[in-house]
Order: sequence, then structure tokens, then C-alpha cells
Amino acid sequence: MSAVGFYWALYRTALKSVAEYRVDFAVGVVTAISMQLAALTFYWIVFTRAPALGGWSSGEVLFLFGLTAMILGFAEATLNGIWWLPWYILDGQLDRLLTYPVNSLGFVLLSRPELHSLGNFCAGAVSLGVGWSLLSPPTYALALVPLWVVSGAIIYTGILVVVGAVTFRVVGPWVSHLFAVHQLLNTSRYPISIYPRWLYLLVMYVLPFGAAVFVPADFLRGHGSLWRALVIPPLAAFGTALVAKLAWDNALRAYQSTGS
Amino acid sequence: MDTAILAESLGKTYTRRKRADGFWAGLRAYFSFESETVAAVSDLSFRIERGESVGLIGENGAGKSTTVKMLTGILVPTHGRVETLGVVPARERRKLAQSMGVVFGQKPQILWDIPARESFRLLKVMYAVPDDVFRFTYHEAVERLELGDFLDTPVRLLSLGQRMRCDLAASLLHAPAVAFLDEPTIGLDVLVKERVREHLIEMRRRFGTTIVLTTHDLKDITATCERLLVLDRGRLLYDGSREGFEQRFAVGRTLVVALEHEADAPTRRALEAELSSEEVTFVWDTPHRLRVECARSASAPRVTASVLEHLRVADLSVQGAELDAIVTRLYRSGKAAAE
Repeated sequence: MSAVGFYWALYRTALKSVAEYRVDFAVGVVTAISMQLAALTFYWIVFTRAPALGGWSSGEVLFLFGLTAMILGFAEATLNGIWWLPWYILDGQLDRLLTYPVNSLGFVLLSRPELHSLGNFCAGAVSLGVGWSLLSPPTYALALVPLWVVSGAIIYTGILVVVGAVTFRVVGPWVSHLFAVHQLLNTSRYPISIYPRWLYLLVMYVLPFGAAVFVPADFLRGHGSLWRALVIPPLAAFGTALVAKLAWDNALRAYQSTGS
Repeated sequence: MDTAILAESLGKTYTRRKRADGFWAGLRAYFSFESETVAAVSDLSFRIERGESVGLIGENGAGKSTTVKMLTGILVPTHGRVETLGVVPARERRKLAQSMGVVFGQKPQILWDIPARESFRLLKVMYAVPDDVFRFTYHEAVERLELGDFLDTPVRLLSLGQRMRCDLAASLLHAPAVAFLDEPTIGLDVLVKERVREHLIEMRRRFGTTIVLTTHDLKDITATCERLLVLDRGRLLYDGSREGFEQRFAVGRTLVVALEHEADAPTRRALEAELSSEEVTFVWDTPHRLRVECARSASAPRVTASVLEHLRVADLSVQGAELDAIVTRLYRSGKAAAE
């Protein structure tokens, strides 16, 4: 049995754990969809006042919104375990995990999928679909959507991992540092041109969520090249994953565990 | 024999920020970067051969868990060298993990919401346990530890004792070459403890598993270990056979005698005179209760025979030769020496 086989088995088992809580799931889906609707309402208000936002039309902004929500939804449905890291460290579960013959980061990430993220994913898919029907980009681009979503999810999670590695030193049940990063991802729901230069550089190059959202959206609206949309997102994902792995390994060396 | 575990001048110091008592002092410490180092374990050297079963004991805070964490690769040692199954644990953690089983009596499971049966299945995949090995270990665990009744209950709904049994079973499913068991009998009742010990013995018999057992219940050790490592404030106090430990640290035994009739003065004197050659002290607690404290050199059978001959004895017991009593005394004297 290969490592892939194990992670697949782990993920299926973890999904089953989540399914234990049915009410939780229902409430989560409703919450996720309402939050996305609230954000969409905000767009709607903006676009009733102005035809474009920072040079992006309403349909074009829907690409941004849709991709961001799909990425978030996909990341939460698969690699969500990083949010649990502070608890894993506090109650010693990480110790146990470190005695397993598998990659500890992979195990942590896959151990806690969030099913309510389906709400985010669907809201995103619908928004992208609406934008698509308004602007009708080339049909073959549809095949690239999974690539962008997966790349984006890896970038999003990778940055959470880098920031989460801090948890190894500052032990406590806090996820505020992770939440700050989560909020940064949401900047990609709005046209990048409305941001100050430093924020633009930050989300394009330092925390490259932008690479998986703005670059594809630019291509979809007929500005950027296909080549860029094809290469840049996976490249940024690969880079982020690499940095995340280094940060994780480095943090483990400094790990002090808890008593007993 | 091959070496399973090797430790050479092993040490671990923790760094923590200096804290002071009081509100303002505490607040000040929050902004200062002054730190202090605390040695949890220092200068530990020992060697454990394959197939050995070793009890690791010591008071709370003696460094047992820290030691186990260094041997298993969870913590990186700050000093010295450690090798488990021929690899440096923290560096090749995953390779080592493949042939290692670990129980942390105090720590919860990650997959908390699924039944044990499914965890076991997942572990089988994770360790790539061959079918025939799994058939044996799974069956042995389910039968011996009586898991059958709650195999399909989500782990979070199990009692502490049931969870501990599942944990132990899980850690040995892949028939590891070495097993680290940190308080595996915590929270278990006497009968179940017995089952756990039997399971360990059986796994060891079948697979030659090397066992490192940390516990506060010394009966675990009497039942399963031939060798003892005793830690005291991070240092190795004793390393050797269990019998050797008992001989070296047992100061003596106490014969506790309950009398049917009160012994009169001449009878007492006669008994004391007869045993005057032995190193014994008589303590007449109550008219019906006598304690005879025998030094290590005294012959317990001879003392007992004389007592039975002179007195009408209702009941008789010997105390103090058990591991429990010796260790208690050792901890106490250690504390006294430190003060």
C-alpha cells in the first residue's frame, strides 16, 4: 500500500468522523452560504452605483469572487486540519502523531475536513458560472478551473502552515494568527487594482494567493495570456508548498511538547 | 544480542521565559526576553538489548516522559546521543516509527469520532501490516483485552479504561520491534490491568518485542519487566535487574503478627532472648499486635518459626520486600537527602 493509499484512507476516515455531527453540518452549510450571500450583496450595492470597480466590470469581479470562494471551500474540505494544530499541540495529540510512520504535516492537514465548506464551494461555483455566462470566455478554459482551485487551495493552506508553525513556539489555544491570514485571502475577492502597491506586492508575491485568483481571472476576462494562467498558479503552489514544508520541519525541531 | 536502544550522556534542557510572581512582575516578564534553562534529564547513559523488557520508574517530574520522548524522536535531545533500532530517532522518525509502538496513557486520540475498529483498519494500512500478522495481533488484542463489546462505539464515548485498552491494542497491531508504553495501565481496574500485563507478555513471547514501560503501578513492572531503570531528578539512580534492585535497596522486612492472646512478660522475654542473635527489633504495638522489624541479614524463616513457637498467632504477614515498599522508601530518602 502506497503513501497515497494511506492518505486516501485517512481522509475517508476523517470524513466519516465529520459525518458524525449532522446538525453541525447543516448549520455550517447555511452559515457559509449566508456569509457568501452577504458579500455578494455588497458587490450588488457597489455595482448599482458604479459600472466598474477599479476597471473590473461586475461579471469580471464575479470571476474573482467565484474562484476565491471555490478555493476556500476546496481547501476547507480537504486540507483544513491546520486550524486544529494549536489543540493538537496543547493536548498532546501531536506527540502521538509524531510516532506514526507517515508525514506529520500530511496527517494533520487531512485529519479534519470541514463539510460545511460545501456551502462556500457551491456559492463560488455559482458565481463563477454567472460571470462565465455574462462574459463567455473560451470554453476550453473550463478545464483549467480545477487546476486553479487546487493550486489556490495549496497556496492558501501553505501560508496557513507557515504562519501556524509559530504555534510550536507560542503554545495556546489561539488561531487568531491563522484567522488574519484567512482574512488576507479575502482580499482576492476584489480587483487587485484597487489596492495600494504594498498590498498588491504582498498578495501577488509574498503570500501568493493572488497568483491563483487574479492571474486566471485576468485571462478569463481577456487581458492576460493563457500561458500565464496555465503556469503561474501551479508554480506559486509548488513554491508555497516547499516553503511550508521547510517551515514545518524547522518548527518540529524546536518543538518542546507538553508535560507528562 | 543486538542493541535496541542506546543512550550516551543523553540530556534535555527546556528553555522558558523567566516568570515572576505578582501581577506587575508577571506583566514585566511578558515583555522581557530573559529566559532560563531547566534541565529535565541530564547525563543519561544506558543500553537496552533487543527483546529486553525494561521498567522506567521515578517520581513525578523525574524525567521519564522526556526520556521516552527523546527515545521515540518526538523531542530532539540537547546533549548526548541516542539511537533506537540503529537510527537517530529525531532524524529518521518515520523510519523508526514503522517498527515502533507507543502508548501515551495521558493523551487522547486524533481520530476521536470513529470507532476503534476503523482506527485499527486505518493503522493496518498505515503500517502496511501483513495479513497474517494482523490476524494474530488483532485477534489477540480483541480476545485478551476484551474489546469486543465496544469495537463499534466512537472512541469519544468510551470510558477511560476502554480507551486505554484500545490504545494499547492499537500500538501493538503491527507487532513492533520496540514498544514504549507510558503509563499504559492508568485508570484501569485490577482485573483489566492483569489483562494488559498478559497481553504484553504474550506479544513479547510471540514477537520478541523490546518493551520500555513507564508506570507508577509497580505491579506492572513486577509482572512484565526483568530490568529497572530508576530516574531521580533527571539522573539515572539505578540500572540493573529487578532482583538486584530489591537486594540493594531493600533494608529489610517487617513481620506483622496478630495475636490470639495477649503475651505475658515472661513469654516476650523468652522470645526476645531466643532471637537475640538475629538483627531484629520488637515493637509491641498493642497487646494483640506485634511487629518484628528484621534487618536484611536477619533470617525471616527463623524469626517466623520462633514467633510461631512462642506465641498464639492469629494471623501473620511479611511486609516491605515488595518493589512498592522499596521504591517508596527510596523516593522518601531521596527527598530527605535533597533537603
